[in-house]
Amino acid sequence: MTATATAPNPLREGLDTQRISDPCTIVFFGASGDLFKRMLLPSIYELRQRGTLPTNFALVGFARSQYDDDGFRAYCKEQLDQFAYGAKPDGAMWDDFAKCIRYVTADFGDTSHFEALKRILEENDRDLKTGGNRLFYLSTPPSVFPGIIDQLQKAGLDPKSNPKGWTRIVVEKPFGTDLASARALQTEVEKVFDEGQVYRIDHYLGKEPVQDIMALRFANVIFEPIWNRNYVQSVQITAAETLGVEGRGGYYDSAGALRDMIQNHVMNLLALVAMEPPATADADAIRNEKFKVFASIQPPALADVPKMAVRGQYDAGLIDGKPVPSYRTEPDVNPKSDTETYAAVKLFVENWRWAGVPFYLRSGKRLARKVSEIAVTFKNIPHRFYGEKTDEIDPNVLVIKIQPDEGVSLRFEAKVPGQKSHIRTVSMDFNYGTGFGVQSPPAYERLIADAMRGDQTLFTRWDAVQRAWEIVTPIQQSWQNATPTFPNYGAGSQGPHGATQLFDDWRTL
Amino acid sequence: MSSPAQAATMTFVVYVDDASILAEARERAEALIAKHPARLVMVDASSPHGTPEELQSTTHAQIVPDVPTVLFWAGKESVRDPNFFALNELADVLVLDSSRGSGDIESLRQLMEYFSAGRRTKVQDLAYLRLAPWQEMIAIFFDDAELAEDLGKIASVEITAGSPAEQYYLLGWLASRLNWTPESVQVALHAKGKPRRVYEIALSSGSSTYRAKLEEPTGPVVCLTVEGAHARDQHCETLHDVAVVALVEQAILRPGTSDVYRATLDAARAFLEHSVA
Repeated sequence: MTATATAPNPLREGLDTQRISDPCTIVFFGASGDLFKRMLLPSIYELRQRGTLPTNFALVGFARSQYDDDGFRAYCKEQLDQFAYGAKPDGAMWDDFAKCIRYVTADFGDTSHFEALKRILEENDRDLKTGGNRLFYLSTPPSVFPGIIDQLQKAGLDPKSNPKGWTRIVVEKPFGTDLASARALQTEVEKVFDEGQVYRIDHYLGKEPVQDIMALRFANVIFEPIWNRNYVQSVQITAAETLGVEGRGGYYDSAGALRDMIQNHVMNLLALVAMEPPATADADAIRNEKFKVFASIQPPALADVPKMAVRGQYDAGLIDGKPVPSYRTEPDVNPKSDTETYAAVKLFVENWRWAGVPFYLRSGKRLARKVSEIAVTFKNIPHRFYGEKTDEIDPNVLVIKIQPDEGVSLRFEAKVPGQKSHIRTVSMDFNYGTGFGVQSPPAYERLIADAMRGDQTLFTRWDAVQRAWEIVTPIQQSWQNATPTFPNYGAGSQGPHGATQLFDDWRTL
Repeated sequence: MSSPAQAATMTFVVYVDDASILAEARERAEALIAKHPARLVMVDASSPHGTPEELQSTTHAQIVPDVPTVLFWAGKESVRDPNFFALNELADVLVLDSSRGSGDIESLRQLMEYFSAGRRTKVQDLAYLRLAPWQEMIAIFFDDAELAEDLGKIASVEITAGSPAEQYYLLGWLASRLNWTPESVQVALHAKGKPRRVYEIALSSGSSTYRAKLEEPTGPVVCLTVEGAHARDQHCETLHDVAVVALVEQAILRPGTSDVYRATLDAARAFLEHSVA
């Protein structure tokens, strides 16, 4: 079947379908890697199962491992047998899907291999009617991104050489390792792709609970009037893990918590909490508002960094009662490493809505509990006339829980039944899982489908990436200039003691 | 762990007048409200009960204000049962299944009667919603610009299904989209297999035949083939969940009765009346 209708199909009127209408080929660079087999391929296969993929679809793997087309199909089936989270590959569905899979054994520096890829894409356009539409997905180490982009252009696979269809590129995070490298990478990207063709993926943004933040704020009227400096005391954003580096020691030791989590995932959460309501649900309307938040955050002065940021590295300790090693003894980690596994940062969004409200961000590994959440703490009541003198009246807190147990909880004060007027703090909880009884689809499934549809809403625009790097750059520089006393927190703890100097009211993990 | 607060998205009223399906109806309703938090009101009319007015009053007392009331009507009759109108007056959305039970055409006829009397419009029929994957399959053929040109030349249709509501709904849908009348197209409806199940749809123009066929041995998969002048390679798609709970979920999430559904029902009625005549 082909999907190249120019006149509307009368049978489509009123049909409730998620199907992506544009036919296309998706090319996975690094298709023999871990990300492809565990996340990307299962997501694609599930999209196929759900009927979301266009009927004219092809997948091309492009990687160093030696396969022919049939060998790669067998590899894909083997991985899906292990990692597919929906139906396993079997029967007519698999046979049909396998037909659209091709492979190029490649050296990323060899133009002839990119020319071979071009021939396959042209064959797909001819035989599978993929319409000249191409999505290049870079699931490779970031160091080879510029080389791949350069080779795409040399082989005539750039957008300008493909006028009959669209060409898009998905770039995995991290987008650079600091401001300079991010700018250098962007320079390479811009030589070949316009911003509208670039999809910088931060899989955190594809998580359902992250998308729920906007629904909570902008599909309800009750929060917005108090969502400002007049009522909000502070905002805490936490992304804490109990896990260590889990076999990613080599990568993590060159990254650290500030680069790996704060600069992207956590800053994106901050933007969603602090942004103004966009005028429309259009991708750029939303991304404009997110950028304005970043633009309102002043990077700390170098001298102020010790008052604005704290770092830590975990020592040996106990997680769930079991001993775990220190960071410096993890595989592929430098035994004298000064890489931070914990980072906490205090930022101010200097605009009319948020002036004077501190945003506390923290992220770390091997902490006491796995939790990602946003806690909005409201101001104390202005005048107390109720409750017994000994009662403490705590401020209201709205917690948006991202994982685990995604949901919303509101802490408020209530009278204890009885003749006395005792006040107690109670919590009202809503849990998306039990509330709606549904499992959220994996983030990659949503993001790949959005890239194929051409919807950039959940992808990070260059101006925001650059500004986020600008904000953390003084912290990076300050930390590079001083040798830390590491390790400084035990695995399974709340993090380094220094974090309480930044803020003495962190929520307990 | 219990929660001090519970969300409620609706009051879900389930009417049953057959004791043999009561337990199953409750089980399905509970599965639904586990996903969409709701107050569940089971109305068991299989045992002695009061007048329709009393039934309405008792049910009304159970309804949660400020959220919609959804009536899932699982009665043997619809418009011919006085309880139907009594409870329907309380509901914002009416959900029923014209293909329930014996699967004869009577339920669909009663629904047509209901609509032709200009009654409430927020009605969702599970028998129609169940066909969405098949509508999608047939639409896929004609996304192809070349094949779309053949759409106006379709001269005959064959539908094989286990019960007549599905047959007439599919026929009505095609007829409403393609402006068919009973006189303009040759129709063959084949009864085969389990109720509520569609097995095959074949559309023929002068030069090509478009066939969507359920391939059960390899799982719930529908394979599409085009034979003749516009022949194409076979393409297969998963046939998606058509469990009752999933269909009721779709029904309650829809905003109202669509224009396409109304046109489908009108066209189906024309074919049904023509077949009787």
